[in-house]
Amino acid sequence: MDSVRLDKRELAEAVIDAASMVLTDLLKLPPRRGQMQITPIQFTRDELTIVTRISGDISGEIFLGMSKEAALAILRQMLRREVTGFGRLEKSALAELGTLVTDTALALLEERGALCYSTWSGVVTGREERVTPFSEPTLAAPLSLAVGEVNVNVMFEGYAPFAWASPEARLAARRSLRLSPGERPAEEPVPLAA
Amino acid sequence: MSKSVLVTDDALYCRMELKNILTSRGYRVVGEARNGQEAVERYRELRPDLVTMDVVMPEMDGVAAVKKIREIDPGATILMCSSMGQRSLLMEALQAGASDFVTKPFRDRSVLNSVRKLIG
Repeated sequence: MDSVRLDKRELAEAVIDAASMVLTDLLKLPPRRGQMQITPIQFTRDELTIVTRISGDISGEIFLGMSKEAALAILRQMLRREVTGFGRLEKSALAELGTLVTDTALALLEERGALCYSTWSGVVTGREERVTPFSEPTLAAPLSLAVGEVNVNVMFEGYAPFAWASPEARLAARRSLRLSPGERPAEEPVPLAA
Repeated sequence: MSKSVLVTDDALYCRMELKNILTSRGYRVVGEARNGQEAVERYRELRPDLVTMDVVMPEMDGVAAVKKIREIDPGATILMCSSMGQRSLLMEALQAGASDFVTKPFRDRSVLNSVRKLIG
């Protein structure tokens, strides 16, 4: 298979579309999409940020930032009960939201020929927490919900090691990379910051 | 007696969701596993009527766990749980002997339809 060369915008569009699809499915109301911007995200700017890393043909990081109110409203839908705080179960549900968005985006990318995998998702609470060592700017777009905004940030780091390989080798590499020990924590996503 | 289920997923949230859906219709969740290795051990011990199995997990993934469980019991009934981006791994699991699959996020009706079809 030829190397896949998607540009940053295509990658960001796939993630924003995926976030929109997952949130629509969850809240039964499509979010309104704001304009795409270029913005740095070394430190969190929202009260709550879900972080997921992708690797494979493309590597990068996906950040879903939101207010506590927006997170609680999403959690009420996911857990089907009243939610007032962010305990172990609530953080696990938010991490799963990150995984769902990322996996949906990866399916969209796969249709365009890019094979990627997601690692685990972590939840960072609080503003001004460092979430990535990279200083690459991200492409970002806000998704407006009735309960607040979800800010989708996509950081593109580059093209990864097995873009040159045969389809079979790429699948095998993806599989072994996904499942290598330490890629995902044993039980719960570990918060990246307190 | 109601049918027994072993739920396997590394995410606490997913295990709880499945447990709620299954117990609401009278199925007994007899055990939980956080990875494939635990699922194999718990299967040996509990011999449930059905195992629900996440695809991507630490330690041992769902595909390897399906193979191990089918070695222990060729008649084991295993329902894979995956998200959209895991299609190739899901196909591997079905080829390894998994019976059916449901996609995340879980929908009560779709999970219960699959479970009913598999174990009644």
